[in-house]
Amino acid sequence: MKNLRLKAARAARDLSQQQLADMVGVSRQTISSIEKGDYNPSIKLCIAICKVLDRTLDQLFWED
Amino acid sequence: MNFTLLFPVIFFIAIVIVIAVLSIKGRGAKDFDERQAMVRGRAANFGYLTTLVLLMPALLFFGGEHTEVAYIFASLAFFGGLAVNAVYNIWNGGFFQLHQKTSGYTVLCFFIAVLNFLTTGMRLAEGESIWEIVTDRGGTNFFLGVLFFVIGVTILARRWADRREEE
Repeated sequence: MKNLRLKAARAARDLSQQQLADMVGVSRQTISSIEKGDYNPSIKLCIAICKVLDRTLDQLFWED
Repeated sequence: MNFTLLFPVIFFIAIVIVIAVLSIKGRGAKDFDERQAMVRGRAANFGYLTTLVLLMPALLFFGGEHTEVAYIFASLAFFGGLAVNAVYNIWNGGFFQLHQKTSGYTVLCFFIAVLNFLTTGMRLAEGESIWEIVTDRGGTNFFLGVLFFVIGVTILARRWADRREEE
């Protein structure tokens, strides 16, 4: 399932996939895969992304 | 002096030195993310399975009337396994470290491919057929050329896809 909330949160901060990837220390393809729902990130990476985007885990990764 | 034996020995020593240098240089370079580490493991599995599957027909033909077919499958098993590993890794972004440049690798791959195709081409020019070449020890050059050509093309295709995908 696509993670549109992550994509929206990134866009709200005006960050490209590459910029977000650099900030959390992963490759751009990894951010792309998470947004497309092709890859389930570890909790460590989820937390790193949440901190950079200033969101909670629930806001970005909890499916309703 | 037995040159037939000397060349493989020199080649083996050269390969060991290259691997040793690369592993020493890459000791501190583990800049892969968690997804890349997973992709690399999966690529190794696929490559290994490809080799195993292609070795079966090689073993079936070996020692029979068509031993040359066994040589082809043995070469395909070895180079096919490497190709599957490399292509899966590169296409899924597991091969290169974070921020690693790919241009040098691409040029090197095409350079090695051209050198090996030239060797094959020289034998074709001497009147040998492609069948004779791939069923002979010289087939190694042909398969190496194809392997590095495929790797080079995959790197270029991945870069092209990345540029399209990038926002």
